[in-house]
Amino acid sequence: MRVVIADDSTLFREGLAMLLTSSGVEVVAQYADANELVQGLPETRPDAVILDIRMPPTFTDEGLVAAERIRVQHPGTAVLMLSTYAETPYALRLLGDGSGGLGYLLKDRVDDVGALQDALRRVAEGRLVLDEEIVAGLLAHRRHSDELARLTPRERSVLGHMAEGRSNQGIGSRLHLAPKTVENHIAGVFNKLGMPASADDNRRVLAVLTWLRAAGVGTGEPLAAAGRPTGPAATGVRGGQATDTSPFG
Amino acid sequence: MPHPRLPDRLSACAAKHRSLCLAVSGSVTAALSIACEWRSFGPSPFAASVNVAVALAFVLTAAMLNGEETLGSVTGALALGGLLWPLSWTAGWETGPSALLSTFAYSHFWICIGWGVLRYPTGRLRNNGERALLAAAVLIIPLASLGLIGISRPAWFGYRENSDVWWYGSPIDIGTFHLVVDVLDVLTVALSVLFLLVVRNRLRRYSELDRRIFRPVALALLVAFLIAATINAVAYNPSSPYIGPEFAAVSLTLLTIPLAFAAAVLRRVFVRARIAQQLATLPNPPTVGAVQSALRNALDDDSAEILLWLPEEEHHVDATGTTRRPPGPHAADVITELRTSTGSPLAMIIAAPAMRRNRDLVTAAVQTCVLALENARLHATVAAQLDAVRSSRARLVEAGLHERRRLERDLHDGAQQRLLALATRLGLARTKATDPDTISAIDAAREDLRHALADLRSLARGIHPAQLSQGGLRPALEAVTNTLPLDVGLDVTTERFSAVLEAGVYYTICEALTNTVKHAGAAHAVVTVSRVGEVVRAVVADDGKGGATTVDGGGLAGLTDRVRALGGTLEITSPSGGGTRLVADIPCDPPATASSGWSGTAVTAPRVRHVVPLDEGGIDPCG
Repeated sequence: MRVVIADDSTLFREGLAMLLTSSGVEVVAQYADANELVQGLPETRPDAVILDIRMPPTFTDEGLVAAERIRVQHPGTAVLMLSTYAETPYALRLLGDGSGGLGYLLKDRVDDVGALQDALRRVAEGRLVLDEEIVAGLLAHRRHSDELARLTPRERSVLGHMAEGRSNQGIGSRLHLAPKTVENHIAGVFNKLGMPASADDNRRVLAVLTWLRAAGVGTGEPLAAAGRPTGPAATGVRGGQATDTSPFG
Repeated sequence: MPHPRLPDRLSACAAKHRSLCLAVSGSVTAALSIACEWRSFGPSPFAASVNVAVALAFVLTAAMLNGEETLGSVTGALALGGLLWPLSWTAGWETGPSALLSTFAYSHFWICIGWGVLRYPTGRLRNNGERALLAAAVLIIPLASLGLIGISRPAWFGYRENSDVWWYGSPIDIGTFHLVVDVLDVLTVALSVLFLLVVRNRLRRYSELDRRIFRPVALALLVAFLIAATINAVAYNPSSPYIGPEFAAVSLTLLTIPLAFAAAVLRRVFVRARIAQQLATLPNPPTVGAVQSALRNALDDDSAEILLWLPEEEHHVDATGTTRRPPGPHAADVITELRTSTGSPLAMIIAAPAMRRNRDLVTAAVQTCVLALENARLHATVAAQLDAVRSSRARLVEAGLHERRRLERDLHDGAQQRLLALATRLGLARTKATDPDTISAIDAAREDLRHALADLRSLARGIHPAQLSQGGLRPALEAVTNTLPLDVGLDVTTERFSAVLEAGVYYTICEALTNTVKHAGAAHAVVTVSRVGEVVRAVVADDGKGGATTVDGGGLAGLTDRVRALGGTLEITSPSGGGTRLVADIPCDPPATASSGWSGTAVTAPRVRHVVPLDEGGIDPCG
């Protein structure tokens, strides 16, 4: 697999390149600046790019802006964001268009080359990947909801893995469950949460994320924080949230 | 030509013993008038009585006005006029020097009044034009009248054919005499018109206050002059005991002159009253600008200025707060120095040079200003100090916010990236390791490193959440509430505000949520941030046990301080068992600090950005 990396921290960037190279990933180029990475894409032609979010010149969301450009200009190139912080709004802004080949992981994950390779492979395959910390935050956010309380512990962990972007097979291997059993759990989750079932894995991830994110008060726009179109799946989920009202008025 | 002003010593003495002076001058004048007109009471009692009244009114008015600053220059003319007028009626004696005396007195009476008017208010003639006018008047009226005697007979003047009045010269041809008289009559009318123009021109150049005071007097004088000049065309000087209706008309008009002076005095009294009233209606606390405009109004002097002395800065400022150097002692302006009740310098009041004539009014006005100005200066000083404290606090807090951001950036770029690079090396080592002991050692190190990274992330986020600057309140608050052991509903506007306001709202909500987590025992909380007009309203409500009270140094007191520092208000409703609800209203555009008080109209204080003091105390849920 060919990857290019953009991160303004030389120390981290080179460590990451070394780690990836040692595990058989070909690091075609490294950049300290996201724009240079985007400009070099016609020559480097990677399978995936690895981007930091805070980069020069403003150290705010350059990485996200570059990712959005790559989605438009090079739709076949997978994008994996590696960020110091797990920011739910950023993740949703990134994944919001509902198409695959995107991932958002904490930089901390680089100590596990297997997980990193797995994430790279999944985004290269066109799937969505979301850091477990973001999913954990979203689950914590809904921990008091009645619907979540109705799930069995097993169903809750299946829900978490779904949100991280794993396929039925991936969930099965993580939880040591047979594919049939995983399917049953997923059906149970969708049924209990009143989410529309989706055959498309990526839409399924978005539906789960959207449900998890829906706040206790009826903002009506669970994804609007990032100011992005939320896609049909998200809209469908939103439409089903009749019970989301203020817990105490 | 007699000097129309009484000698100063006599004037001062008369002012000192005003009632005695009134009684003496009244009796003397009455006796003189009656003596002069004793033959006229028979044929024309009304006109003769009016003449006595005119003489009395002139003399008594002069005695009354003696000492009045502005009108002083005309009192002499009035007094003299009051003596000359009855002497004019000695013509009725029809014997001896009466004709000469009457002609002399009657013609000089008008010159005397005219000169008095021209001398007002400086006591001097203004220019050569005025001097020429007066010279022409002397030439045409008294000298010509006395000259006419030398070329006529008494009968031509209206005296009885056989009267034994003293006369001089030798008569000329009567036709030529009438021609000369006609020419003189025309010249007299022309003189009156010229005089009218000069006085009008004068009035125009007076200060508004002088104009208002002197206008009625000038009007009465002018009417009297015009009537006298007109009558002069049909009749000669008084020449018989019988006083014709034309002279009675002149006398009645002359009576209005003292009345006009009385009106002028009344007007000055009104002006004084108005000053007191204007200064009584000053706003509280008064501003220098308000005192100044009241003063200008009261004195009708739009150039009047107050220069306030600032003891600490050791310089004067005007009503707009601009530093000003007061005019030197030789400046033409009327400068009054004001001192506080304890005698320290307070202010300088500068009025137009024309106000010198109304110094008494200026002094009266200025004295009523002292308390208001002292008050204004105190208020301005306190306001300025408050401004200084506010802006210094604002600078401190902005510096604090800046420092927090810098710290967070340093952590992100330094320690965090270094530890993350270490994570890549551990990951590499983990792939290379084959020995189980090494693997478990590496795994332990990885575990420790993950904790260290999580701790560091928490710390950095608590110092300053990067999300707040980048995405605003909504994403930053989402990140906070996602980690709380409490279900928090968020309804937060996506609108962006100033960094300081956002930081203030953010930390206020974080602190409120900390209190909820620590004390409320709540299962749910709702946070809303919305813009209501020019105010950002942040509401944090929970379903906990309520009963929250504000104690000194406690969390709620800190919250109140934080919101107040942003120029906002905090309302806490916390009935026992009924949950707690905090409503913070913070202005989007922080108001300028309260008017510094230098001016009632313009706020001259620099606009101060209110910022929130970042409080380090307590558990920070944002961490």
